[in-house]
Amino acid sequence: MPLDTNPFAPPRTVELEPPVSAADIEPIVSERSLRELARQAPLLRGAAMMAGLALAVDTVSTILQVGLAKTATESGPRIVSFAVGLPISLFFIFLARGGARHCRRLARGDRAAVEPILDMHGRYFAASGVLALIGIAVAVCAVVVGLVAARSPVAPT
Amino acid sequence: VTPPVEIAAEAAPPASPPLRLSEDRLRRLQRAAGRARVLGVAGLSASTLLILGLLVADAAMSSALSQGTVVLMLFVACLLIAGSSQMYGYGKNVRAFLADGEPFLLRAFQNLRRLWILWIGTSVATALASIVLTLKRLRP
Repeated sequence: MPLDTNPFAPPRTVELEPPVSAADIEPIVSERSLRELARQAPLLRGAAMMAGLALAVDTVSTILQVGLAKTATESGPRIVSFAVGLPISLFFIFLARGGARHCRRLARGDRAAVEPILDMHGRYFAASGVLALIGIAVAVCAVVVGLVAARSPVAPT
Repeated sequence: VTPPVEIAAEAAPPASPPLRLSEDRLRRLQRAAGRARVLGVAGLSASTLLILGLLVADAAMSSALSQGTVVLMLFVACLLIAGSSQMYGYGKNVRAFLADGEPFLLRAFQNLRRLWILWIGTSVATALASIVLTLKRLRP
């Protein structure tokens, strides 16, 4: 022990509370966060229901428009857009329904539901990323097709 | 005689232990936050491009775009801006939670709640637009 320190001196505050580093912070989920997650159950259920309603309306609209179309060039793009949109919509509907179910479990006090809810959030963002990439690809294709169509000579009538 | 403080302590329900996330879950949360931030920035860029494209197209075609098209495009751009900002906010708050703890996760979940509300609004708008377009096609 060094001679210049008093062995009977009370401990200093810095000795009792060492500086907090980022590695020391434990990411503990607070009760308020859990309650906030549990409160999202009706919203997710509503999102699934509304997405289902939009899909149903789109299905009826596609059937009517394809039925009214006189040529395959009129009905083709509509069928393709519906075929692309159907699995995407169904995926998001199932995701929202699963999220709502786990949020209800959490509201009933089952804390094990937090992990599937966080997984659902991760899948939602991953799917949104894929959707954004598809959207960008479609937009680029549309611009290219538009430019090609604008440059091509007009067919003689 | 039992002091009232102890009676109150006995009457209170047992506090549930704090919920700690596993290492694997934290890693997944971090990955989701990264995706959310990228999506937020991409969405904000796309909405800016959409609005600029709309202005350029309107100027190039000397205001030939119909009022309905302009309103629809602006509505889509507003939805994109709102959704992207909530996604970016989620990503930012989760990153802050992983560095500093609560209340940042609570804020991230509040961002998600607003995102779900936007999702409901978008679905309703899509259904209405689909109905209007079909009725237009059906009209002789």
